[in-house]
Amino acid sequence: MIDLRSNENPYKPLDKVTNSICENMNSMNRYLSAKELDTLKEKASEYSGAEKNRIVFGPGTDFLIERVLIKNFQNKNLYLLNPCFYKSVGTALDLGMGLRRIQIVPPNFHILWDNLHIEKNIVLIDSPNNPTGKYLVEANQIQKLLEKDNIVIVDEAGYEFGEKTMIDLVDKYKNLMIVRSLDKSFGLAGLKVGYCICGDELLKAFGNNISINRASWSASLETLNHSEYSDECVSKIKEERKYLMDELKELDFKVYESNANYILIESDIPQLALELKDRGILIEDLSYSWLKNHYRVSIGKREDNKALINELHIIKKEEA
Amino acid sequence: MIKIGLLVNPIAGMGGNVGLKGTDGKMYKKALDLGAEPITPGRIKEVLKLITRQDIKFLVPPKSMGENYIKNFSFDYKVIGKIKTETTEEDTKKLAKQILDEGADVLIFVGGDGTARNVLDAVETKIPLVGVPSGVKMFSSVFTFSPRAAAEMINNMGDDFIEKEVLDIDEDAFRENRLEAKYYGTVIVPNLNHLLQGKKSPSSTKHSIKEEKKRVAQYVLDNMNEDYVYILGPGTTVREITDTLNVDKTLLGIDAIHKGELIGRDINEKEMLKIIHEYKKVKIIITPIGGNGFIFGRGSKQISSKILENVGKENTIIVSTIDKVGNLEYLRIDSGDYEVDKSYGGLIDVIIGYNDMILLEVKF
Repeated sequence: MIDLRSNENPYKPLDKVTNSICENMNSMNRYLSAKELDTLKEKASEYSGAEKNRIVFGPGTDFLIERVLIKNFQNKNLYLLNPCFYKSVGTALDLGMGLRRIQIVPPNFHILWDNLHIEKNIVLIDSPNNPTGKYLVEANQIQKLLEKDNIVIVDEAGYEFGEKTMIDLVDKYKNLMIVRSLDKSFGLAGLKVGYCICGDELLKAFGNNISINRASWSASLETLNHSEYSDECVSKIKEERKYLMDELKELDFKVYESNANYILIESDIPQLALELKDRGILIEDLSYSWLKNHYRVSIGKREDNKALINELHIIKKEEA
Repeated sequence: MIKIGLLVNPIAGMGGNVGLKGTDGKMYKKALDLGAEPITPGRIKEVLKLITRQDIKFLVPPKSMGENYIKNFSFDYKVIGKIKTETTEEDTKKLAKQILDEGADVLIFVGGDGTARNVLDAVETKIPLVGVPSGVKMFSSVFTFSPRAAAEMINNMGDDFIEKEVLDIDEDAFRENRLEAKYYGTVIVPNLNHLLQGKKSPSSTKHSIKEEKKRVAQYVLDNMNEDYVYILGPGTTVREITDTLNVDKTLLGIDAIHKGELIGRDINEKEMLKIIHEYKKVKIIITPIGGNGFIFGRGSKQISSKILENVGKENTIIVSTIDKVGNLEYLRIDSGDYEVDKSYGGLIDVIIGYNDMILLEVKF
C-alpha cells in the first residue's frame, strides 16, 4: 500500500538520528532530567528564534493543545475550522466546552474573522491550514483576536513548508501559543514530538513537568542538530509537490495551490478514494466530513507520486 | 447469513433518453411510444458482479422486478410475491413491504426518485437501503455514486448507518413551470466512511450519527425557554426533540409545541400566524435540506415569508448532523420576499451536537 493520506515525511530519518536512540538505550532506566531537556530547548530556541524559557516539549501537538484546554476551558467555547483533524476536539467535548466550527469554503476559503465577534474564548487555527494548504489568518487578525481576550493557539506544524510564522507575537501577547512539530519535515512522526512556544499566561498550563521520553529526546536533539536534513526534505517535497500538481492539472483535476506537504484536489470521479484503495493507493476522502468530491493527497516520493498518476490515467481511461 | 432484498423498477430511467421527466404513471406509455429501452438490467448486473461476500440470501420479486437478474448469478435466492406483466408503483410498495416482512436485513433498490419514494413509504427507516441510481430524476441523496459503491455497501455492511433524504419533483411547483425538489422523508443507508478511515482522518464527531442527533435534541431542550412557542419543521433531527419529550410529531408536517406540549399538529400558514398572534414569542426549529442547503423556501412552504418576517433570524434555530451539514458550502433561503431573505443572510450557527455548532453563511 502507498499511503498518501497521513501527511507524513516520505523520506527516512538520518542514520545519526536513529543511532542516537540506540546510543541512549543504556540510559533508558533513567528518567530524563530537567538539565537534559534544557539542552533540547536550547536547540529548539536556536532553530526557531524563540526564547528558550517559552518552549515546552510534549508527545505530539494534540497533547500540548489539550494541556491549554484543560487549564483554561471554563466558560469558554473552542473555535476551530471545519474540517478539523484534531483529536483534542474530543477532549474539549469531554470538558463540556462548547465547540464552534467555522466552515471553510472554496474557492478562496476566506474567513470573515471580523464578522465572527469572538471574545473571551479559545481559537485554534492551523497555519497553513489542513486540508487546504493555505494561510487562512493574518498576523493583524491574530492580534485582534488576542486583544479581545481570546486565547489563540496557532498550529504551525507545517511551518517548514511555507515558512510563515507568528512567533514574533509571543513576547507581546501572554495569551498566544504557537505549536510546532518535529513529525513533519524533521521526520519523527513515529515518535510524535511536538513543541510549543507560549505567551506568559499559557506557560502556566505546563509547570515543570517533563512530558517526553528519552528516545524522543535523543532523536529530537540529533535531528535539530542536523537541520539540513529538514531543509533537504522540504526542498524535495516542494519539488514533488510541483510535479504532482502539474500532472494532476494535466489530468483535469482541480488542484489548489498549497504551502504544505499535501494538496487539496477536487474530482468528480465517483468514489475516487475507494477506487484508488483497490489499486493500492490511499488518499484522504473529505466527502464525508466536508465537501463532496474533495480529496487531500500527501506528497510522497517520486515513485509513489508516479504510481498515483499512472493509476489515475487508467481510471480516467476506464471512465471515458 | 444476511438476507438482502433486491427490488428493481424495470421501467425506471426509460424516459431520460427520450426527453421525458420521468416514467411515473402515464409517462411510461409515452416513453414506450417514443421507443425507450429498459436501462435498469445493466445497472443491477454491474452491482451483482461486484458483490463478493458469500453469506447472502437474496429475496427478490418475480421476473423483471428481480428474479430475471439474480438467476444468472450463483447467489442463493427466494422469490417473493407476484407481479403482472406491467408493473406500477403499487407493485413497488407492496413488494418492498413483503420483502421487509420476510425478514430482509437490507434492501437494494434500483430506480429513480419515484422508486425511492415508493420504497420509503413501505420501509421507512426500518431497514437500511442501498439505492442504485437508474432513474431520470435523481434529486434524492439516498442514491450511491456508482454500482461499485453499492456493492461495497453490501460487502462491508456493519451496523453503522447514516440518514439520507428522499426528494422528488415538487408537482405543484412543476405545474407552475418551476423545477424544484420536495422533501418526502428520510431513510437509512450503510455508512461507507469507515472503509476509508485513515490515521489522520477528520475528527468530526466522537459519536455515531444517531447518538449525535440525541445530543442535538438534548441541547435544544436544555436551552428551551418556557415563554416561547416552538414551531418545528420536518425531518428526523427535529423529530428527535419531540421524541425526547414524548410528543407525537408529524414527520413531514409543521408542528408547534409550548412548555413541552403539542399545541398544533400539521399546521398551515394561517394556523401558524394565529399562534404567532396569540403567543407573540415564537421560535422556529428547522433542519436544512441535505445537498442544496435550503432552510426556507423549499420543502416546507407553509413557513412563508410572512411567518419568517414575524419570527426573525434571531429566533431561528437550525439543527443538523455534521455528516449532512459539513457537506454544504452555504445555507440557502428563497422565501419569495427578497427583504426577508436578506434579513436572514450572513453567518448562522447550526447545532450539530451538545453545545457543538458549525457556522455557515446563509445565501439569498
